[in-house]
Amino acid sequence: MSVRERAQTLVAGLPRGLDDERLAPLARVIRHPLTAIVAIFLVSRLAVLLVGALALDRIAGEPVTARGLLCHFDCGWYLRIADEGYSTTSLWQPGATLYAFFPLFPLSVRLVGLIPGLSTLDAGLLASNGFFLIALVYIYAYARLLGMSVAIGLMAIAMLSFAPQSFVFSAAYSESLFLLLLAAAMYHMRREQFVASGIAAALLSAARPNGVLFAVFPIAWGLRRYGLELLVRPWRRPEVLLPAALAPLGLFAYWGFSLATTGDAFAHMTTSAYGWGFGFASPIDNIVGFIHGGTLPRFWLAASVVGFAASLLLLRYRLYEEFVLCAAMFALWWSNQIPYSYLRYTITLFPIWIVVSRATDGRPVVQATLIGAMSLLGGLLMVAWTLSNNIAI
Amino acid sequence: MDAEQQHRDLEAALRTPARRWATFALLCALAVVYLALFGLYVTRSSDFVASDSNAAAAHAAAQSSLAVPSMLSFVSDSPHVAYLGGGWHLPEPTGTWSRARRAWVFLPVPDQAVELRITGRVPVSAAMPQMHLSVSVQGAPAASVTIEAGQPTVDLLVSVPGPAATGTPIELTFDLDRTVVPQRAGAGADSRSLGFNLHAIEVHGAATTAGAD
Repeated sequence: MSVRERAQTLVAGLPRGLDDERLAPLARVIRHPLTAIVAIFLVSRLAVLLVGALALDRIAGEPVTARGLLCHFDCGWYLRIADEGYSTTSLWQPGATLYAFFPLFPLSVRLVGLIPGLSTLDAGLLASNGFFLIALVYIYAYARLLGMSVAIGLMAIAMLSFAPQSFVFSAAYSESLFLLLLAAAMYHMRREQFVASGIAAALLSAARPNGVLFAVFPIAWGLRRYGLELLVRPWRRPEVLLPAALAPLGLFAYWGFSLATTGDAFAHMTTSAYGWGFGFASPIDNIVGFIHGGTLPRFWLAASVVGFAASLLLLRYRLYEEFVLCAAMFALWWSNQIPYSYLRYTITLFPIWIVVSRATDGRPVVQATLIGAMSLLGGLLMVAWTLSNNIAI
Repeated sequence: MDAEQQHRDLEAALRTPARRWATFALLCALAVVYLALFGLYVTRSSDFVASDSNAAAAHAAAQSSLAVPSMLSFVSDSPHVAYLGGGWHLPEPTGTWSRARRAWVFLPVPDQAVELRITGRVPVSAAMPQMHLSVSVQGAPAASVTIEAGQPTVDLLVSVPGPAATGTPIELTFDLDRTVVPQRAGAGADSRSLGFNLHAIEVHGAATTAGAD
């Protein structure tokens, strides 16, 4: 038998790739978008952890621990609420109290912490990563609901997973829960499942105060679909307005809790002002102030401006409702006198990733360049995060 | 029945006339509840950080006595910063800045009628050429001054009745007509909201202080 014949015999004995009948079930699993979503989640999280571990070990010279990797800045506040509940005692800085942090994430940490053997930190990390994975599935489904291809949907979640500061989705922070609830509220709204959308919206405003702005999305959606009659004769289609009406519920509940426990319903704003210098002013004044405010304010401002510029793509694809929601969020953030965290706030606006993915679809070099550039910046910020440098957050 | 079917049934139920009116009634009820709650929250709320700080400062003042004459300093590391109530930033080597338009100081009960000489400064500048500061004692207006750019220092005299009239720590309330963010006003890199920088309070027996505004 010639070498050629022997080679042919050998090849014939091998499975014929994923088209082989025997491997069909495996092929279905591998080709299922859910597998790709899980793979993107795992690879992006491993990359984040690898950068963090190297930074801790080689730069900081500290042991590589879960806390060192994924629990800095606000993490301690959330875990303290999960452990001990709210208190008016100032911690770490005058006037800074636990009331600055909304209750839904620490509450979910406490619930996950009921699993035997889990510390509060373990529970926080498990909850956060679980929320993020489910959020990715929702975002993919949302992209498909908008008529985008499988490739666009997967690229959108890849961009989100490798975005700068995406490490917060794995840290004990409320961003992953916020992302999940926002995606769920928008997804169910677009599917006209108004009750489900309303419940997600109510929870959203209990996760972060800006969650209440979700209310503009169903109103914009309803106005586009039914015209002004939706508001002029609200009794004709009240179900469309239900998610908007339920959106403030979480916020009002937290205000009520704050009033009952501190005598100040707006305790989160009070303590944010005292402890962190938060305050509202004209967005134009703020932006001018940030431009003249040094490297960090300029960096945060630039991040949000890039995010806003990208959100304009929503108009190109006629996703007006999503644009209204993003614009409302940016207007709120730019009204704040403190620019920190603009980047991590911006990356939760997932419709932007969907349209960026759509706009770059079929241009693999552009997409690779984008993800590469974001990963570089993300790596830098992850190093800063593990070193507790304030550019990280 | 799968979850999808349950969703469809629920949404379909919302669209029947009776359910539609019920949903509309729910919307109206929610609107009324939100308005009522918001009114309640606004009218019943008070700044809890200031309240807590005031309580702590009043407690510190109640535990101390006020010698006459004496000099109370509000620079960092001074023991007298315990008398600072709500509305102040952290003490600094040059004094303590108020962070809001209103700030409080609580002083120990004096054993006689006293006069307080309050010194400090406000961040007037070309961008903010004028600021107005008033001081109240136990809630009653006691002194006020308008500060112009070029003369940022404050030197105020305030009379405080004797212990028979008060019996509780002296509550000084500082009210400014505005605060300034120097970074925004082009007057420095400080991005904090600043009001009045309290440097010191001199305590004298009544009608013995001279040379102040």
